[in-house]
Amino acid sequence: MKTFRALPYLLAGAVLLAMGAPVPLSAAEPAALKIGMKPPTATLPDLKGAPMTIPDAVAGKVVILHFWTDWCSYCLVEMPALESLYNRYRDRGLVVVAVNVGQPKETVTAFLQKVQVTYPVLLDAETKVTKAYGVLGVPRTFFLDRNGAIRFKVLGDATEETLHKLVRKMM
Amino acid sequence: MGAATGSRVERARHILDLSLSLSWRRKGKTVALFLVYALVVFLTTSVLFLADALRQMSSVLLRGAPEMVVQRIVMGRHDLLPPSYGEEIRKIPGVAAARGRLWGYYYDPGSQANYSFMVPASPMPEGTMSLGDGISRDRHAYEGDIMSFRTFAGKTMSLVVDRVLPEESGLLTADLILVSERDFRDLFGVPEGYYTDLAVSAGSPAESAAVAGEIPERLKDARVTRREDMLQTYAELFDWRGGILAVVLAFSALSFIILAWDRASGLTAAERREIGVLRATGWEKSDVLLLKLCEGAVVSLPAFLAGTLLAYAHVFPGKAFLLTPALQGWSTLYPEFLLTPVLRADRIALLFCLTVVPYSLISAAAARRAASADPDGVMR
Repeated sequence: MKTFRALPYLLAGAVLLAMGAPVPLSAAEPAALKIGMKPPTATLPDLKGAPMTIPDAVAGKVVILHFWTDWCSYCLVEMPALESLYNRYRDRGLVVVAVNVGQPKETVTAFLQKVQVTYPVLLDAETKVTKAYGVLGVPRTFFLDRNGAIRFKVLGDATEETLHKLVRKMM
Repeated sequence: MGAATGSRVERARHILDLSLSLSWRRKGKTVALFLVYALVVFLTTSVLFLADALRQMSSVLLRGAPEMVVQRIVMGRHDLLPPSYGEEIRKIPGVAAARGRLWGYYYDPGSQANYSFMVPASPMPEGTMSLGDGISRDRHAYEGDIMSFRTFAGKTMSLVVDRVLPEESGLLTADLILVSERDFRDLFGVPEGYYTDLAVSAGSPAESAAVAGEIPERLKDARVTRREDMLQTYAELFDWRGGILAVVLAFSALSFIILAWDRASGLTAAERREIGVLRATGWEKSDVLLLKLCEGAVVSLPAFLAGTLLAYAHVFPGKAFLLTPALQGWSTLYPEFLLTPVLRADRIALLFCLTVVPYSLISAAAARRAASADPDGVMR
């Protein structure tokens, strides 16, 4: 009898719970870096395994921090363009650092045989730094001024002309 | 007269005291009833608040829509309007203005989303863009950032974000990118003088219908959509959404019926005994019914208030987070769901009449038979 008395409440509760069930759960938002902000410090190995701390290791320089992968067709064009910039402005304090996003060393080495670059290439195998920089797609390029603050941020690829224009503004 | 009024107040106070203490004695059941009741009111009221806010918002948004829009249809599909169309339409008597509009969609493989590109009525500098709040959130793109797009000819076009459109207009602008006319034509390859459509306004409302009729007479492949047609389409779309809301409402009503059925299906032995004791100690039948009415109100009134306040917090500050997954449909870029609070007194009154009043009456009606019976029999 007691069970029967409780039945309406159980039914009502079940109906209401069923309605409230499809509540979406939002995933944690990755970092959002804006112009003027200083990016987080991170240490990553280069192809030889030597660690490099960015942006501390390049403090006082104009830095281009380029996130890329080998399957990104735009990166195939943009990385040589960055090499041209690097050669042109390195004496005036430009440093280019390319960060590979989540790929094995062998894949990166094979890609760099096609695209010969002399600037440092770092490996973010676990994509922790990529996430810390709020990189949601490649290519993504950060331009840091001599104070270490983000001056420009390019989402997607940029032409060599655009890259030159941005670097000239920072020199 | 004064003494009679005083005794009536005193009597009501005693009845209220007793109903509170009886509810407190059955606190487990009272609390359970309160929670389920508040939940039912919360869901029902949330649905009504949301429906009213959406209706209000759609009517506000359409106020800014052009009087009529002219498109060109080729092989059943929307096509670009050549320069001659604008010239021809401006010749029609009664036409006050015909402004070419440029808009289109761009698929961004990076975020797997479609963006709406548009040239605003007021000119903006080349090489810049105003970004919808949804895209900004999705791509982490903010003021000063540079975003790249692929033009129709496969070239890279980089545009600087000059501002992010306010969150408040997110329902319309979440996926919107405003660019200059030059950049738009370069991006999509739209020749000079060609437009996506024309926003036409007539000199007066009386001339509007005549102009709308005359345009297809002169331009055989033109399709005219008047603001009224847009309103109708929105209303139909809203009715579809309203159907989903009706299902939620029906479930809430079902829960309420289950509750009411429980009250109406009779009293427990303890409750019958209580009534018997009251009748045996000289309580009038009307007093017993009033007591039961109060007992019903003790649960239903606070539950109604709590449910209504919670619903307000859920729909407006809480952006109706329980209901929006069912209403928004599929999209990569969702607008922020900022609703302007709409409170209609008639809605609250209706809800009150449909929940508190019947529940309290049912509570009293259920006690009526026990109150009418012989107290000795009831107690036994």
